[in-house]
Amino acid sequence: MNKRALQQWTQHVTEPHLTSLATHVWGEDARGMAQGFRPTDSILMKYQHNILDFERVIRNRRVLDVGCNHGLWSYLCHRHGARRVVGLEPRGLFVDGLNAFAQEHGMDMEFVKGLDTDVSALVRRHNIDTVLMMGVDDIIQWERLMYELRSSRVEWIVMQNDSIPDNWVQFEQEIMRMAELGPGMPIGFTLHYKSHNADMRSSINPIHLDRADPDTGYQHVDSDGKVDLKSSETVVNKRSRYYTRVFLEHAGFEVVESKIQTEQVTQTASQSSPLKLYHWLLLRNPR
Amino acid sequence: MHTQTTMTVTLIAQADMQDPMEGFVMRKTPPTARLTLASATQEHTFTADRETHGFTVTAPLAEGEHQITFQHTRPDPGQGALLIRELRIQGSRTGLAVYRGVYTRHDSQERLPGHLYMGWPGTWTYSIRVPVHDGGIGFE
Repeated sequence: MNKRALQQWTQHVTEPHLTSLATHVWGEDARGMAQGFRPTDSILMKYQHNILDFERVIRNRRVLDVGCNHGLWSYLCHRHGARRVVGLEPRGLFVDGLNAFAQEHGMDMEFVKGLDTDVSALVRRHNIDTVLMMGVDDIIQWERLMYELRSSRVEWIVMQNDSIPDNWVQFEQEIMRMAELGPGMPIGFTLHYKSHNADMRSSINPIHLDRADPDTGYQHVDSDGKVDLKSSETVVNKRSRYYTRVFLEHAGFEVVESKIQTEQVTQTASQSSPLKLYHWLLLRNPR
Repeated sequence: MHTQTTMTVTLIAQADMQDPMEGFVMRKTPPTARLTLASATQEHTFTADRETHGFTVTAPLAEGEHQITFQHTRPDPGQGALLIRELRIQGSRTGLAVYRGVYTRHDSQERLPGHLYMGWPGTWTYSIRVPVHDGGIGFE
C-alpha cells in the first residue's frame, strides 16, 4: 500500500464527488461501490505515477485525457489544479455521464465523444498544453498520433504504456544475417494478440465501428440485439520498451522521465500489472 | 487494508412459457426465480409469457472470488423457462462475459457452461472477483 498516495487521495477525492461520478456513469447500481470506496493498490500506483509524480505538468495547464474511460483520471487532473480538462472517449455512457457530472459540480471539464483521430482537432480547439495517454498504447496506432502531437502546440505528454521487456524475445540467427545485409539489428518488436471483441475496448475496433453500440461500444451485438460471435474479434499490439523509447526520440520528443513498474500489484483485473509491464513516460515537445 | 467492497449485481431475465402453438402456455406455471449474492437475495414470480424482470442484489464482500447464483425456486418441471438477457456488475453491462456462467439442471445435475437459457429448473452460477472484476467494471 502506497501510504503517501493514499494520503493524497484522501485530500483530493471526496466521496460525494466519487459517488456522483459513478452514478452519473453507471447508474444507481454503482452507488454502493462508490460510497466508502477505498482505492486499490493498482489505482494508487497509477495515481502516483501519472498524477502525483507529474503534477507539475498538470497544474495550471489545459489537459486532454485521451481515452478517458470512466473519467476518474480526468477528475484527478481537475483536483490537482488543471486549468481545464477535456476528456476524449468513444463510449456514450461515459461521455454523457461525465458531462452531467462536471456540470452538476461546476467543474471546468468537458467530455467529447470521439476517437484518437480527433486528438489534433481537440488540441487546437482547446489550446491543450498537456496530453494524458493512459493505457491506450496497445489499442491505437499511437505512433501516428505522436507525429501529429510533435507538430502541435502541446508541450507535455504523460504516457502510461503496457510495454514488453526487451529480453522476452530472442532473435533467430536469420535476423543476425539479415542485419549484416543492410537494415542492421532491430530496435525492438511488437507482439500482436487476437482478442475477443467483447470488452469495453472493442469500441474502437475499426472493423465494426459502424455497428458499435453508441453507449457501451460493444460491437458484437447485431441489429436484432443478438450476439454476433463471428464479428467478435479484435487485435491488440504490445510494443517492446526499447523500441518505444527509440521511436519517441526519433519523433523528436525529449524523454524527461521514464519509469518501469516495480510495485507488486494484486488488486487488479489487469493482465499486465501482475507482470510489472507498466511503463510511465514524461515527454516534452520542444515545438 | 481492504476489508469489504460493496458489490451490486443486476440480472435481467425473461420468462419463456415455451410453446404457445401447443397450448403449453395454458398448462405451464410461471416460474419463480431467485438471485443470490452472499446473504443478499431477491425473488420474483413471473406472471406472463415474455415478461422481463431485473433482479438486483447488493452485498458487502471480502476480497476474493464470489459466486452469483440465479435459480428456479421450485423443482416443478412444469414451470416456464428462464432466459438470462443481461448481467450488470456495479451498473456495468458485462456483454459477452455473461457466457462465462454455468447452468446446472437440477434433475440431471448436468453442467452446461455458456448456457443462458434455463429450460429446465436449475441454477446458473457466475464468479465475480472482489474488489475488481474483469472487463472494465468500476474504477481500475
